[in-house]
Amino acid sequence: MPTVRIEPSGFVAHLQPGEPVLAGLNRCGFTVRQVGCRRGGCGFCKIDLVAGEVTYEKTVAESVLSAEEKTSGTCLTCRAIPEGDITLQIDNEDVSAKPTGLMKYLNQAVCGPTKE
Amino acid sequence: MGVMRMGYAHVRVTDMGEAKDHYANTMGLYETRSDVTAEGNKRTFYKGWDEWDHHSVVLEEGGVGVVKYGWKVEYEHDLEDIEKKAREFGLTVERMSKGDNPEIGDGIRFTTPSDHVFEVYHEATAIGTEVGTHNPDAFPRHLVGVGAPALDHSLITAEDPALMQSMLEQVFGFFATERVQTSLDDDAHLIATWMTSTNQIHQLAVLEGPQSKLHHFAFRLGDWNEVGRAADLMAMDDVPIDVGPTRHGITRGQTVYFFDPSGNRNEVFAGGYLAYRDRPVSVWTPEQLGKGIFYHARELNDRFTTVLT
Ligand code: FES
Ligand SMILES: [Fe+2]
Repeated sequence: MPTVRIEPSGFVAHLQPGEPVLAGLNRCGFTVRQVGCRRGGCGFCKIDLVAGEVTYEKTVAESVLSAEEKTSGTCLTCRAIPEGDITLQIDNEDVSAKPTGLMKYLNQAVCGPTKE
Repeated sequence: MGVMRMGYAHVRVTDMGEAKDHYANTMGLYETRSDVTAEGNKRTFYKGWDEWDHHSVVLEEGGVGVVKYGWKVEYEHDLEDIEKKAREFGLTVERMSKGDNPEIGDGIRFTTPSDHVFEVYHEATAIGTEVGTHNPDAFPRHLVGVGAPALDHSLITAEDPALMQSMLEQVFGFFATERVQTSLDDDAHLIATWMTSTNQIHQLAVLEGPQSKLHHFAFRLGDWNEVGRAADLMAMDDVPIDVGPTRHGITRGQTVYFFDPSGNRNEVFAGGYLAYRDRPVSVWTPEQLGKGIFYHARELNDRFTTVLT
């Protein structure tokens, strides 16, 4: 199972094979605030990819994610599917650094009781 | 009377298979044609059950956003009239011929000051509603999903909404029913305008934003219950809901905003009071804009105002 590591908090989401990054983050208790259409059309959900690789199984319009962005570490999270483990850099409040409130139970259910 | 309604919205989708599933099975539109353009793009044409013309929604594969809108006029001579007014306004107008769009007659085409393509036409192949005209029943018995009866309106963005408002007034004879502006002063800056040519509360709204973009296009529903039921169906079909069910302060309509499989925003819209040319325009100012857009939550978010295709 690919993992998504969130820097700088160090929290990890465990994704299912073929699962898009955004769906996996949600399932693992992360609140992603920077989300638009969830369908690859608006470009609102881009997050910096600092390690690992992602692929796109569904067609993404060039106007949303350019070929250059695809290769230069921009992850369109609602459509990106990790190829192995990846690390996302989140320097702002767009994704809660750690699952809190009831969200922590979602994270524990998938990722175990403590952070890695 | 000139323009009667928005006859069609022609939009781009990234994947025709997924788009068809959404528009046919979730929205319940009736497919009336599918073909491939000269450039090799797949297209699908749809109508709602209570629409009589051949199509009101055209999907074209390749990209996202809006290709163009079609506006249907009542009389053939309205075309000349609108052509003349468009030229007087300073627009470049071209003629379009019967068949440029399947099942649509001769007309004119121009690019608006907001960089959207508008086509104006008088004839469309009549298919008839799904209930017919002779002793018609209230609705078709076997609707699919939401079962949207008709296309209702659209919201687009423009760098200069005031210029679009002037164009719609002068070229189409539209009038504003509601506006958002920076203040009540005469020299206030226009932020958004809701416009129509009939009793329908709006056919096209224009919001300040980037040129040529689509905010949403909307399907008509009967009432609150249908809006709620549509949201339930979206949950069943894993359609991402943007906002709602809620009410708009502006227009008083009841709504759900959601996204099609390509990320184009759709809406289902019910209610809205009757528009009249002599009804005083409702004006909203920024301190109550949240309530104007989302009457219950009264809070505007980034996503609603900046997520566009
Ligand atoms: S949320 Fe719109 S592209 Fe990802
Ligand atoms: Fe709307």
